[in-house]
Amino acid sequence: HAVWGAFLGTALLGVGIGTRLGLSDLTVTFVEGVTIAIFSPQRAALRFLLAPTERAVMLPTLLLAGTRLDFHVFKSNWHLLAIVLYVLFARAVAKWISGWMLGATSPDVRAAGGSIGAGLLSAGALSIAFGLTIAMRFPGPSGDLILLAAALATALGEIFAPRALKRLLDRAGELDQARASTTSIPAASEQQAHS
Amino acid sequence: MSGHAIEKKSPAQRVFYAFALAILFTVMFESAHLVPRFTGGIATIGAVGFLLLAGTLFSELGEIIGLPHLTGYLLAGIIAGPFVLHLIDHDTVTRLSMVDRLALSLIALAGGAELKLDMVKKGIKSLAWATLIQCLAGLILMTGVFIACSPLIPFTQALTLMQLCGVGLLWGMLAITRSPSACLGILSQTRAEGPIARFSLAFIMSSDVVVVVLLAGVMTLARPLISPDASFSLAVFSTLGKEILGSIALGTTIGLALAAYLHLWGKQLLVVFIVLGFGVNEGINYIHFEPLLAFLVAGFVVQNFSKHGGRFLEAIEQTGGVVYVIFFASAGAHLDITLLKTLWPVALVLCGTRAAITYGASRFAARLAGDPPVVEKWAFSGLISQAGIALGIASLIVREFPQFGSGFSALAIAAVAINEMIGPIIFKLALDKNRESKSNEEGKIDVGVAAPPAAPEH
Repeated sequence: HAVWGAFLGTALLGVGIGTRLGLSDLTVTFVEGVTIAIFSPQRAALRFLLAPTERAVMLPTLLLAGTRLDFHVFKSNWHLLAIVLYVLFARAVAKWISGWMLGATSPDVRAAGGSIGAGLLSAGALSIAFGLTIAMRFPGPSGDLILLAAALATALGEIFAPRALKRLLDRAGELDQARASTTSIPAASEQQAHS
Repeated sequence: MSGHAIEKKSPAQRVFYAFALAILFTVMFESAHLVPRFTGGIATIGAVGFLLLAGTLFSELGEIIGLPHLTGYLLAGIIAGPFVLHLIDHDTVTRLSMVDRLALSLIALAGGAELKLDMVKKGIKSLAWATLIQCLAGLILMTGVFIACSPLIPFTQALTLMQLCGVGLLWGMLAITRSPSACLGILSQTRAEGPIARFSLAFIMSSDVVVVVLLAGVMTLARPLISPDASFSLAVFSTLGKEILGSIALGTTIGLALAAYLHLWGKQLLVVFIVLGFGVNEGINYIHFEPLLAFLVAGFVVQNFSKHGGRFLEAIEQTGGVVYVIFFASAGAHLDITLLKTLWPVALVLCGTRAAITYGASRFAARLAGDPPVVEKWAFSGLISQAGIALGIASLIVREFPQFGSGFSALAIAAVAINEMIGPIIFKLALDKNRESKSNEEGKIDVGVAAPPAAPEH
């Protein structure tokens, strides 16, 4: 109870004080998490403790973000759609460049071939959470636009990134290794059962 | 209560807790200084976080001198609240009362789930005598004490003798209320098992029902004494009867539904408790039934008419652990300590006599029931605490009789504050002394620790 109390207390206090002082509450709580990850000797146990709460926290956040999406902002401002598309395109280009740089500097990554950047396109619940925070902090077309961009980036990332990543891992031979290790576990346990 | 080992903390850990507490208060103080006016939902969130941390740290430090965790939570709220350091303002304290609903639901569910049928059957004679003697003696004698102390009580100076008797009756009524939350808070911390723990739990939980019925009766009697133009009416008992029967029926239904859920699914109990604490609680209030009674019965049904009582109780304890910190800390923040400055002499006399009457009535009832000596001597210890229910009754009395409202309320708050702080300490002391508290096991925290081994001679 004390551990949960400390965890929750720290997170909620961070939100309260961060907002009071005009800081981003998401950033404050993120930094709290990073600090725990770096300095706490029980970081693994704490991570294990928090893991089951991820769905309970993220699903309502995603639901709330979904209800706030407002496509009507494009009706009177078509140029905003162009801005969103440009942002998505710029993100894809940035990921491609970072993938290329990774490939150039790491022989292991190079073995996986090109389009590593496509595998890095994934944007998850954290992006949506940031977009939602900005939309709530700055209500109006700007905030809605940022939330839309985050949502579209996440959707695109979910479409392209998993397939690209799977292809990369396959090309690097890491999927075969994983399959081999999972088939050897039943064999080893059977051996143990017979002996 | 489920068994659970309590770790012993090292001096270095205690020093760290003290340091962390100092940092916490400093950060909160400075942010309150930099941005003085900060209210609303986010302020409440920050206050909840602060109280969680401060309450937990205070309770860990209070362990050094054997204080119950509950007292630590209260102290955190009192010090940070709007009457001392003003780190949490009145508006935020009012908003925090939302947590009370969830906490009281969990307390009632846990209280009912702790009452095992065979335990109740075995102790029915003891419970019956204790209820009768405590209620009668408490009500009559405290009425007399209040009337005797009236020269010291400012708001009674303008009252006639009849009115004084009426107000005295109401004070007697207040005096016989107990605190299920404090009882469960202490039992949850100490994991106590034994005759004192069992008696206290069974008595306090069942006395709630008795108090609700008696309150209606006392209000009916007091009304014509205080307001001469008011008439004596028994109509209130009809409404009360419907309320009690309805609450029991609803509680049984909720209990059966919970048992079925635990059997068929049994997951996400946190969500279930939140739905019960906020949603169902509101619904019960809307139809003018008694949520505390309904949830008490629900917990009782789950424990005694299903196989999932143990798991249910464990889930409540896990959830309640965090909720109780906020509940008691916000109760501490609610306490108007400034009233104690002016009213402490008379409040102390009233609290002292209440404690003495409780002790005497407890011994007498135990002797009549043939209870074991440990119950005869120590059963009173769990009955001293008062908290939310007493304050709720006080505000009900104040609404019904606005003539002396603010004075009565101030005195009630002062007395409840004293009982809320002293009561848990006495209860924990009794449990520790009679080795019912699990924190008295070897290697765990004990007030009388053994001296360190002597250094070897060279």
